[in-house]
Amino acid sequence: MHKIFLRIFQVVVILLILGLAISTFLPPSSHCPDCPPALRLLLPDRFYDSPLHASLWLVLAVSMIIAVIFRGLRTASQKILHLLLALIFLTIFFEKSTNRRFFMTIKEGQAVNLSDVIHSSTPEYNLQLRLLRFELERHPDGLRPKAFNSHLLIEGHKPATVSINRPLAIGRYRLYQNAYHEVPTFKFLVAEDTLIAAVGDTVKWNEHRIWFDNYDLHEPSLRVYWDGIPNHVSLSGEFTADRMRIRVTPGPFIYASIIEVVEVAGTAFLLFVSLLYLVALVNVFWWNR
Amino acid sequence: MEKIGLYTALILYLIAFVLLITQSRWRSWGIAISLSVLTHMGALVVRSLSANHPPFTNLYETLLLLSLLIALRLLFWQKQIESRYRWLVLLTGIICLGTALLLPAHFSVSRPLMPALNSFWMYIHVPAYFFGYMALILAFLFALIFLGTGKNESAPEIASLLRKLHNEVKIAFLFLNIGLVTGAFWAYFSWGNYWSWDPKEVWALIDVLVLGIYFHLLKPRGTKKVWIVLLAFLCMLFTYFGVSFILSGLHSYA
Repeated sequence: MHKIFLRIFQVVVILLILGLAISTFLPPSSHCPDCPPALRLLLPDRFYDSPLHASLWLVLAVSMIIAVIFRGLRTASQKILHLLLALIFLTIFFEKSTNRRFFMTIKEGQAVNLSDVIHSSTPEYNLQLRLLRFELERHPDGLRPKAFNSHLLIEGHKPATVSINRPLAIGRYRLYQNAYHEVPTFKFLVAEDTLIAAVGDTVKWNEHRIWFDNYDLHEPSLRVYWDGIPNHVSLSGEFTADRMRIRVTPGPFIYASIIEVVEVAGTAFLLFVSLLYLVALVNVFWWNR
Repeated sequence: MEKIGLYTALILYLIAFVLLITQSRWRSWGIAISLSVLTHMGALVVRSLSANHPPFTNLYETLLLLSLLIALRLLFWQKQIESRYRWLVLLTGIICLGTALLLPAHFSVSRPLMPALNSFWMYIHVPAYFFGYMALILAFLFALIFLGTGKNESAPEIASLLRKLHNEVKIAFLFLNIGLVTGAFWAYFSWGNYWSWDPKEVWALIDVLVLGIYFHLLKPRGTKKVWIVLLAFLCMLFTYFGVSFILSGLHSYA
């Protein structure tokens, strides 16, 4: 019985090693549309999420559990070690299949509702998250970034900061700083008023709605929608709507922060079991040989 | 200052090496290697202070760390290495230090840490990996000695050599696992994702899987074990150098 489990382990691990090693040398599937079918299975973006890959790990986990039950392992410490390892693999399956990830982009000064992002009707997540400021900290050389900080105001809470290595926990979700980009803004001089808006924003003025897109650095022009009617304007130009002359001038760039929202059920357990596994490994190797 | 310290350490290591191969007593080569380790550590402290981060962040710095770990292992756990093979271990440390010093100048330029690297986990993850690499290098040296000295496993000397090799593989397996788990913790706290199937992560997993086969042999004979150690060493070399130079990914800075 002991030999059968060892043989299963060897075969599965060798298949895993071969699959994993080959996949690292292959391009993503978008770069290899004419790859032969056998090779296509090992393309990195296909192999890691493939049923074949998942089943190899599953066979490994199940064989470890069966080995423990049917005395395929000799000592108690070996059994504990293999059970913990099987538990790690099974938790990863559970975590991968249940945990959800979302991305939200918030421009400085703007707000999003967390429940809209995570598609949840739970009152706990019906919160407005406003990006007060995005801060790009630099090292003393003035060139290299030191930290990316999103300073948020969360409805009903104190202001909070999300940065790389410092996520923010809200209920079962964690908010991670993912990326950022700069967004151009434009000023609209309508009558006596000045409205400032970023690309894609909708601003209201006296029951009118103004929205614009088609911002292109190579062919500088805007498509401004005045109550849904498009107007093509140069970056510092004018257009007429409702018998009013509306002047458009470029404004400052603002930051848009991209924040990843991750459901973390099972992950804390996984990390705890991983720590136990390391302790069990020391136990098998040195304390309880 | 840092380079002066490193070159001084290299010269002292070479003196210790010459004293070792001329069968000198511990007192003479021990003093030389102690002085070289102190100088080496001093240079790394200078490097850390000037760069504002520990010397774990690029190939140059990790080679300096690896050579220091090998020298420390020789200095403090010398009984685990038979006296007639200690020169081989020291020579490996000298090669690592020499390689670091021979790298083109842009490799040794100290750069500020990128935001993701600015984490407490770096202080566990990287040293754990390099301690594991150091143990695997020693296992590899023992494997080479085994292949070079004949394969009579019943001979007491060879049995002792295989026991030492086994001990190093256990250390390597434990520390590579610690590196893997702490790397997953770090990624989770940085990005909310403990595993990204990045080439470096995949090859680090392959290293552990290859060593996993070592512990799951049907007939754990010396020759089989030695060949697995050689394979694990080649995989480790590819994880350390190959992935950084041939493949790109989240660990491209390393």
